[in-house]
Amino acid sequence: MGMSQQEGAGVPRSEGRSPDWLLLLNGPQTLGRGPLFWVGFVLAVLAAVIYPFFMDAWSVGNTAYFFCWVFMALGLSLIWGYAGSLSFGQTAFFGLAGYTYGVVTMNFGAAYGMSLVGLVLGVGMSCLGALMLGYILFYGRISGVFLGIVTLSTTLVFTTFMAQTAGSQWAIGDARLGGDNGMTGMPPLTIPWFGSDIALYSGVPLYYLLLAMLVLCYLCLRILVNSRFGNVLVAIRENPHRTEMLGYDIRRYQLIVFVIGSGLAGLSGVLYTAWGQYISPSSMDLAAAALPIIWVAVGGRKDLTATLIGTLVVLGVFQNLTIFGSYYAFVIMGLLLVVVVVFLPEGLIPGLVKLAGHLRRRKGDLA
Amino acid sequence: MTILRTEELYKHFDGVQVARDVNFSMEAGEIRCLIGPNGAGKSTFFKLVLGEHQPSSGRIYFSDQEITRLRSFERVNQGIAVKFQVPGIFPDLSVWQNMQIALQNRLHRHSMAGSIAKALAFVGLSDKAGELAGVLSHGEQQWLEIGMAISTEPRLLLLDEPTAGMTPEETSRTGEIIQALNREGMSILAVEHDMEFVRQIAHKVTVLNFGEIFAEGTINEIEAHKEVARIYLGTADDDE
Repeated sequence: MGMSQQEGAGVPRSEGRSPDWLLLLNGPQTLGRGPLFWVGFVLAVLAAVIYPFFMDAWSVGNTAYFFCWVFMALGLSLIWGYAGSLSFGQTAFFGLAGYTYGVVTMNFGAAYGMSLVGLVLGVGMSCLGALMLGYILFYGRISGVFLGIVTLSTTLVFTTFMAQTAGSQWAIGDARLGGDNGMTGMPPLTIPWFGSDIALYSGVPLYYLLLAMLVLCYLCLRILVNSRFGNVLVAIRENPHRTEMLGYDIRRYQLIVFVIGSGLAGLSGVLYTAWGQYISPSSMDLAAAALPIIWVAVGGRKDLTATLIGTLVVLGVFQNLTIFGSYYAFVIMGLLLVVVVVFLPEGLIPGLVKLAGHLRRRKGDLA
Repeated sequence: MTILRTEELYKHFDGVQVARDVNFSMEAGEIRCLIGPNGAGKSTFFKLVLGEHQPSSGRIYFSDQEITRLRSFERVNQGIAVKFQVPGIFPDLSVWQNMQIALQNRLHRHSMAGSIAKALAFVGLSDKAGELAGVLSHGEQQWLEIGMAISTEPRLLLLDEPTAGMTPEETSRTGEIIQALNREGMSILAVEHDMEFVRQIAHKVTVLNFGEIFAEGTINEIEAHKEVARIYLGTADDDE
């Protein structure tokens, strides 16, 4: 059977000819593929690189703030969009990592790479928390809407607990947890350097660091979702029963992806805390927990690129709404979610791609 | 050699006995059909063999290895595969991807293309590789699932009503596929209601009724069994 007969959406075109990593970057589990997409990708990265040269410091810092959140969205896309497990509790891992970063850096400072230690420990704590919660969830066969309920409940319990830590007895070393007011005054990410360390306050250097991390994370996740591991995730989303009956221990896969996705939420938490030198329970509460769901659902949860673009767009729109409409912004966000779920359940970007394909086919038929 | 054996297998749900004292045995290389009226316990028996239900008591052996406490995916990795009654495929993925997921556990990527092409040719879906599995006809989805199930290189294939909803042509083609698999050494255990199909493929038939093995033998012996005819085949009254 010739390969040319098989070529189609889900049939690899160059199996056996291209290096593994290239096939994995361009695999069927990612919407954007082919030379045109990659030209667009390089242009988008270049535009992001020159962006600080044309924008004021506030805008650059604000964009860096947006970048902080995208890691959590990509993690949720992995857990929900790719593996089919809706977690409503990603902000718990965000907060856990943020507080961990605060505790480490307020006790040990940021010199000698301690802020990077704080980052690693923060992400590590969120992974550990996800491992414990995920084990109970997945090995306890909790799935569907109950998974969302349990993860949200866990987040709300953690939020409520942190909100009552206002007293002076709630301190870890020199780090006061601060209750509802949160923890403040931790140092920013600081890169050890010859002569003097480089403190990355909200500004151009932090912007570039976050941009580099985001591009790296995005490319690594593309490779992951197009790997054998990613194939199994998608299979679990499509039909967990069949997947298990092909010999896969689906609970192990669900747990691993939950830990990876929650580690990314933790990364967002550390970066957010280091960016603003502040973390509080409000960054984990019900409203905060709902926002990642909206970013991911609106963009297109089943695709990393759609999630990335959707998150940045929705964050921008949401921020402008909060400036002009205060709490009405949440109402509009909720409305946006309902409209997308009803009319474009796959998300805006996959919906637009589908529409473009449909129009192209129609044009071809007419020609 | 015995490929599948159960010993005094019992299963009850809230006091309702759905499998009772099932002592089942089939030889390697056999095609066995399980028949029985609705509620006879055929699906429960399948689920017990697959590990989807744990027995209330009793033991299950696969190639003389006890598998009673193994989880489903572990049983699959021991050499048991299943095709469900409702096609268990990945509808939003291409036929190729469906096969890739089934095969990737056992093969390196570079040898996968050839194996997928071979498996698709075997089940007659070579020209559908790029199509979404969800848009295939019912019969094609059944064959795709058989293709996926045999990709795990099982020694025992369980088929739950493999011809349900198929046209006569599709049923006949399915029978040919099953017989071809059996000729290659695969043992087959099928739940089936279509007696014509049972006649086409079965070496032996086991009749279940009220969770018990009621009768066992060749298709001719079963069809000549008056009690079986009375409870299941519905011909005893005509004879009398």
